[in-house]
Amino acid sequence: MLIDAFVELLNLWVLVAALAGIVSGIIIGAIPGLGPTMAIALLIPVTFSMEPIPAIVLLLGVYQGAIFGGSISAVLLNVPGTPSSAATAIDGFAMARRGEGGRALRLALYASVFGNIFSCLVLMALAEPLARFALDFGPAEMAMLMLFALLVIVLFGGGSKLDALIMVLVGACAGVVGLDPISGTPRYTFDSFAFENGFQLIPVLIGLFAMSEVLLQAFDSEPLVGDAEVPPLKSSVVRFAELWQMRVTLLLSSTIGTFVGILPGIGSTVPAFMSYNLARSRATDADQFGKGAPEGVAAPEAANNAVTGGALVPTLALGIPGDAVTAVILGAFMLHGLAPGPFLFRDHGLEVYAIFEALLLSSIPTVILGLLFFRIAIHVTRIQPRHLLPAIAILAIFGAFSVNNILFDVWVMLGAGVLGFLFRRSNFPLPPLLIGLILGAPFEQSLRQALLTSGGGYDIFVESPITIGLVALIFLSLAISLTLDLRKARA
Amino acid sequence: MKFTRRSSLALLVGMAIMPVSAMAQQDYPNRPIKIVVPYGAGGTTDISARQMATMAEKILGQPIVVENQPGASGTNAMRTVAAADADGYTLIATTSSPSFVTPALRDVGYDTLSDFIPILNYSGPFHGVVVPADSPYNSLDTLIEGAKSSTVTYGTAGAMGGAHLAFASVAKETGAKLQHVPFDGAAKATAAVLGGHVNAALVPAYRDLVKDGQLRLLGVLDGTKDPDFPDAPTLKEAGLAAEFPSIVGILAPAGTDPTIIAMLESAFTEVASSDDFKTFMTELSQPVRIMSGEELAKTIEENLNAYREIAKDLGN
Amino acid sequence: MNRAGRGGGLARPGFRTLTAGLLLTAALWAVFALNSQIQVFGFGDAGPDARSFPRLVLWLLAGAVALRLILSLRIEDAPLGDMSRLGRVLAVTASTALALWAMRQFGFFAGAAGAGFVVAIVLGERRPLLLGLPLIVAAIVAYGGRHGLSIPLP
Repeated sequence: MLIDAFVELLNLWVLVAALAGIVSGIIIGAIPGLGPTMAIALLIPVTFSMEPIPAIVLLLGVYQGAIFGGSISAVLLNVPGTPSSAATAIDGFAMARRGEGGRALRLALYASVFGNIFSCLVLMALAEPLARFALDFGPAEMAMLMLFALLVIVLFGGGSKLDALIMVLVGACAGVVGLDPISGTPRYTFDSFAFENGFQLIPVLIGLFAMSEVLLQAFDSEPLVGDAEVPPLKSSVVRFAELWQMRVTLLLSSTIGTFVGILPGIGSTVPAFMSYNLARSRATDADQFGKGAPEGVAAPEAANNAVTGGALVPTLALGIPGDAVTAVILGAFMLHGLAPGPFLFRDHGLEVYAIFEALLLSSIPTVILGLLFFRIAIHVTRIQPRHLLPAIAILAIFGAFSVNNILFDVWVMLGAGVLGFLFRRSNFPLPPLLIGLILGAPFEQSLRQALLTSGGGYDIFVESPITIGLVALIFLSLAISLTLDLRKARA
Repeated sequence: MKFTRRSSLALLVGMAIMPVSAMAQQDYPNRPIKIVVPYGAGGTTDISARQMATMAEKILGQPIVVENQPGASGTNAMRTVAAADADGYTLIATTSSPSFVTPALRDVGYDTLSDFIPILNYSGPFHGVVVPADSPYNSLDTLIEGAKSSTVTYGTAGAMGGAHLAFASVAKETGAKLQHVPFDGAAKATAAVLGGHVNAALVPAYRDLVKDGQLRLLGVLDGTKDPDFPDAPTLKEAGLAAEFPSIVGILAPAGTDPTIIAMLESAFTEVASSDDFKTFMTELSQPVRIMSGEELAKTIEENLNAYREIAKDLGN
Repeated sequence: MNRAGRGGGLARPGFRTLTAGLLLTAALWAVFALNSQIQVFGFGDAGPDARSFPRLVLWLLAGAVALRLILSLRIEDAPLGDMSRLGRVLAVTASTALALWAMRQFGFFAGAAGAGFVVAIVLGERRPLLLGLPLIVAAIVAYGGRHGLSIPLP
């Protein structure tokens, strides 16, 4: 199987897709203010007419490239492209001001490759067994799992819990529009046929992450990064011995990233800061953290790259995406006929393993291109996003249209863009909104399916070992969140 | 000069009053033909329609472009094609649900009978009544009898699908307590019956799982038996007055010139009855079931009326 | 303004108050319209019907937003800024909407290029090269989309 899948990768198009993805990812990610979610959302339409393997390889390449690109702008300019690279910026920018920007970027690159490989191995080990286990997940189990996922993003997603709750609910409400999944009756369709399809994920996503950026920049016409001096780069090398000294930090951070990633809904910001704090508490020279400690760069980078592999486990095995990026990748899988769940490995095992191996192997071109590019990328970070925004607006219109080939979706995209502008301007977090939109409708469906099979009895939610375990997890996470809050209030 | 102008004027007038159909049949097709598929790229309907298009191109001598317009269980695409020019350049490869199930339930913005001319039917997956291998039910009779004493749950690919309505009318007629549980697609309904979360499922693509011994096939919902499983009866043979025939056919907007329809019917029938197409469909695990345009029109009309009755009975 | 002494929140409404207010209005309207927007015809199924879940989440949303508004009464809000900045946002939104509306008649290229051009102007581009960029991008996307990806653009 592994060898057959590898043979599938020996194809010029796969290589071209991987390289094109990584390069465009690095470029988009390096431009201050543009992040990986937006990069993927805008590039999905390009993959429509491609075969599934190169299509997904391209998107994963974009993602990896954009994460690295994001650390370039985080380290050199202190402008993190995503909240998750904010942790990298703390020590990375400090190093850059000492002229060690090149060293910080190399460290970030190697650490992220380590995190990626680690989580990819975990993914390969866990996804198929979990997918086999997925047959035991009936409606009641799925309903409890999704409730847990929604709860986790509200409680542990970082930021205000009330804000996250509001966003999850907004997403769930938006998911109601369309045909009722159980009785097939229209809900909030205003007697319009176009609404019956509901709000499609990809137009909403493009609106929230790309169009809203255009509006934000129209609002803030001041440039994001003035003509800030990029500190000079001294030439540097990172020796293997240095990485070997960090092996425990790298391993711990990757483990945190992977396993927090498996929990649906948290995303990569929390594990990045968790492993940064862990690395600091374990360090002998803790006072160096914040002043340019190499491990302060390596720890969060390893963690936030490890999240992808972890988040793909529930995405592929159960169809429950872990964060915004895996939600987009899930959408891409579905578009290419690879439906996640118990049959994914049976029907499309070859494609899935080829994709896993591509994810693993793409570390090689990422390192090569990363090393080649970061001198060039310094110039890219000087590109003002506003020069690109008209093009982004056009691509957003095109991308939203191309999903279903109807103009209604473009209106949805524009609406989501305006809402996204308001939410981002008001500091309401977008990832919970997305998870609410993705999980809200299936949650309702599973809940009602379970009640239909049980004849209306709610005891179905505490009958099987899996549901009991999930209910216990739900109470446990509530308890943990409460204790943390109490401790914080007392401190 | 004067003469030329007058004659060219006459020519123009002549062209204007000449029946459009006569023009059309003369040089049809003279540009690419478009087949709309009401589902996403990569599904079985899409793949089979693309194969059909590639093979029919050679006969018709013009490229055939397949365009996906997924969403709203196929009704969006049907509405678009119903409103398209009836010139033979826009066709739709459609299935049961948007042609006679959904239109029987609610206003979808088109009428399959008056807005379309069927060209031919070329496939249609059999839907089976399947139960887990360790289920106490080993025939449709025992299932229905069992459902009279305690509720039997069954999963289908979605709310208000043909399979759901067929079984709803069975339940109504026999008094059996059959509880419908709609899933999001046939794969999820199959997974649910495999995991034992529902007692039975009405799904296509059961062949491998039944041959593998994981599921038991009690019967098929179609009007004819699945040739792969001659022992499984149709609902009618089992004494239940319901069926859900599955179609995959090509329709043109109403008003398309009859000669064009005839031309397309002969071209597509030639493709569908070829060995190459059959081999291709077997690899896809899809049957080849050819019906002429007239037969397809009759099937659609009968079922549309039957489903309207069922929907009325169900209190819509 | 006359209550400025209380500081923040309602006294100096900003983006958060605006957004939360809009959400609250929308949620309450949706609750109000629930019965007319969702028809229920049952098969005598047990358990919740098509209205139960929307009703629950809408009430929860309304409650959470109301709580947010109350809690943030005393907290500094993100200021709306001066009207010209909001005007630019409106200009971009309106021109994109206009472009979408016009696409049916004038096609994808004209609409997309127009919208891109307005975005460039609003963002303060004045150099001819950068103003021409949207036209080029729109042309590439329109051509590539139609012929390369065979997407039936309007």
